[in-house]
Amino acid sequence: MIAPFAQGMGIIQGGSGYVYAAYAITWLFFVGYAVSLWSRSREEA
Amino acid sequence: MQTGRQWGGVVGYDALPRRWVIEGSTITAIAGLIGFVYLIAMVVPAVRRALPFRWETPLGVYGLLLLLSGNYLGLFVAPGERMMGEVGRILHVHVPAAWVAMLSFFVAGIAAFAFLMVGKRGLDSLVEAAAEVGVMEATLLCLLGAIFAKPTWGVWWDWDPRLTSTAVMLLSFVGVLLLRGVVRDPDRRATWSAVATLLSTVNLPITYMSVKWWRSLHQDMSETTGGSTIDDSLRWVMYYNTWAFVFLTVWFLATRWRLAEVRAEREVPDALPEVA
Repeated sequence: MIAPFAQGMGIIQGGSGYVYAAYAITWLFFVGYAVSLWSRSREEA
Repeated sequence: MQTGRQWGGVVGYDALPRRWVIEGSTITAIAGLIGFVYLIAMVVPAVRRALPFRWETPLGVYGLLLLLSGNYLGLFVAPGERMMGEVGRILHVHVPAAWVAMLSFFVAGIAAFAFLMVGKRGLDSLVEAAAEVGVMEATLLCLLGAIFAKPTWGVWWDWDPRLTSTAVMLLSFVGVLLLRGVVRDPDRRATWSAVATLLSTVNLPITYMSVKWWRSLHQDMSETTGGSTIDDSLRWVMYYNTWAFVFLTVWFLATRWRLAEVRAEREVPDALPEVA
């Protein structure tokens, strides 16, 4: 994927893929950690 | 059409109706207030005991709801940034990730110091919980930073002082967790990891101030006691997401602390039988 470097007015063009990736990784980490805690809590119970 | 401050900083490039900004800021303040009022109520043991569920569970659900709605606001409602365009939307998760990672490490440092002072086992469990949550969040922070860096700087990583000190911060707390994993004796583990945590915590102010002390690629602080360089049309969305991160962090910390306490309880040797 070609990085959307600044063009014309110096404003970065495009880049939605990076944005969606960032938000998806945030959910992956939080949900993944929550599931890990739930799983470990069940083991300890 | 540009809106907000024009001399630099982070500026929304699409005009949001002013009414939205005011209403959004009010909703953000209320969202934070609800969570904090609940937290303050939970300080009272009688209130906690009266609940038919674990006190932190509603906070976790609330944090998830805020994250869901906050991410929607960040992706579809907030304007892009004047220079970074759409990529500026990463700000709404990157900055909160940095704040909560530092908050968790700070809690670990305070708990480690308190443990060395009073030696209570519960504080050692809190060190373990806060270090682990902080490592998870700092890893997320570094990944989000890399995703932000590629389209804005043209590289995934740079040995910029802020990035380097953040990496050192993350790795030093990974070291704390590794240390806890290899030391079997609970007393030694608690003392050694408290000392290692305090040594790691020294890096926190260095990381925080690195953008001031060594001006480099990473931008300077946007939020200071002297004011903000972030335009109001973006700022409230970032804070809305920050509350989501904060309440989820409290949930993670409380749940992980409880888990560490259960494990610590099992390590306590059985009392010797009384001599007849």
